[in-house]
Amino acid sequence: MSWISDHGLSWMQKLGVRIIGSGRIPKHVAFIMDGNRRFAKKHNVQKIEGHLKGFDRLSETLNWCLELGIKEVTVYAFSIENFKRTQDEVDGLMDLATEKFQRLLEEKDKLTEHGVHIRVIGNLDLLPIDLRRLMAKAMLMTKDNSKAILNIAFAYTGREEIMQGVKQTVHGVADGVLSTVDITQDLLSKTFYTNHSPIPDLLIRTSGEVRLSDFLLWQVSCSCVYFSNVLWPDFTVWDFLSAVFYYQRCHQNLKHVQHLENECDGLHQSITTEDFVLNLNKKRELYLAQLAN
Amino acid sequence: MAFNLFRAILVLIHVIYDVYCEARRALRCARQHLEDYFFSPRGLEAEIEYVRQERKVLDKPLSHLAVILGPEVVSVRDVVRLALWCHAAGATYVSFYDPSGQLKKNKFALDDALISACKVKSHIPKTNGYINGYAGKQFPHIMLLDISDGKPGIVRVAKQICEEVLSKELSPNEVDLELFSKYVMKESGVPEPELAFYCGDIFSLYGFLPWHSRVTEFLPLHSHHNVSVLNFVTLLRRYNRCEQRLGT
Repeated sequence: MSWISDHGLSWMQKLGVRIIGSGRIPKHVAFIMDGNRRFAKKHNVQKIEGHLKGFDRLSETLNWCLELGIKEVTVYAFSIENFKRTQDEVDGLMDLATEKFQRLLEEKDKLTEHGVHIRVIGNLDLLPIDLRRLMAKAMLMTKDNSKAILNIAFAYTGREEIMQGVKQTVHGVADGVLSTVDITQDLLSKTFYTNHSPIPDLLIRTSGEVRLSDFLLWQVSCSCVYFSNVLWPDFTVWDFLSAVFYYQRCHQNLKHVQHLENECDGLHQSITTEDFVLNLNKKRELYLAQLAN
Repeated sequence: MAFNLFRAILVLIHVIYDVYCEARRALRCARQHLEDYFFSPRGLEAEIEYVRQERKVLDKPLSHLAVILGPEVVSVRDVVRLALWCHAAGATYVSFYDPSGQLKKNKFALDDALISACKVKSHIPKTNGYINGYAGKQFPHIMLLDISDGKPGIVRVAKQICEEVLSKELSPNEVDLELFSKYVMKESGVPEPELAFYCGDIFSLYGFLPWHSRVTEFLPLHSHHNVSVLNFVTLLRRYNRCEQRLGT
């Protein structure tokens, strides 16, 4: 199945999208796509079949997001902790990802038409070299698209991201580029894998689990979180619209705490921090270009 | 024109949903009153004893239980009750997270309320400030947290590490997950909570400790005002049923 599904919506679903879409729409939505394996078990099929169904659901969800005008989507595809699964399953998932990224490169025209920019967030060093190269190519190929952004968290955990960011900052201080007073929430968030994204307005987790499982720990601290009981492959447009409806009801209540959090940070910003961040971004671009070759 | 019609329908749905939520809340309160009237133990002592009995059926560890008060106005009386129940449920650490910091400001009132609630003086749990004191494994630490303990806590740890690097106590390459986690845990004074209750109708972390909420189970308490011990125990049982797969 293609990355952006062509499945049309029924007239009822379209009506639902139009109604919900007339209200406030989150700019950035994050998904923990949980329940593929339970889906496979329920239907008595191989685990990888469940993951495949999960991918199909993702491509439909991306289509719904485009319909609704959600500009940015971040999905949790593979956690660093998932490397602890059986070798068979990990291999299967890597093969699936390789196949899907190859497909993505073939779909250049379609992605350009929709203006989709793909970013992979996570520690790419942990991945097989072929997959890494495909991911880097996909990111470079779509980097000038700006209508919609899809961040794929792969070999990612929120803690690893925070630790890497702090480590970069510590190096900056040790090299004399930064001073200790320059370290703020704002600076740290600019060192993360998600440095180009605004914070998610809404986080959706499927399958009835009520945990964050190390996903975007820093970024969702003041976001609206929606737990859905359905398994990810069973997630329908109605479940999705319910989540957005929930967001419409709660976003006002969270403004106050977002404001409190920003207040803690003060207004410290200097030219040195800007230079530091610019350099960091340049280094990352260089790294991607090297990977793609 | 069409957009205005859709908008009107959406507003109407929100209004109907508001009514539905209010009705549900009223029903929940009514049910809770009835349950409390017929089944709930009377008085704090009896409530604590009830939780202690229930704890025996819990087989999952509970080192830290967090209560996210979120948008609610603090009720010191209910915080005391919750703290003592959590203690009875076997939690070594109990934390109350109030983003606005009101609870921290009321620390002395809370200490007084705790002292008068505990008949046996040696069983008085200690609130922050006694972290390194004698409130060890036997009695829970009660931690009061606010927004400045969340992301700003991580910023403080990053600064501390930088200072240590500058004074050559640490090399930047030594920074890894284990080391950083150790520093963050020490800074906050609490371990990762296995379980957190949140108040209010919606779920958000309200800026709660980001590093700590990696695998925490978040369950809805609805409100900490006049919280029912039966509800508290139901949530503990629900927590006991949750399966942790830790990525595998």
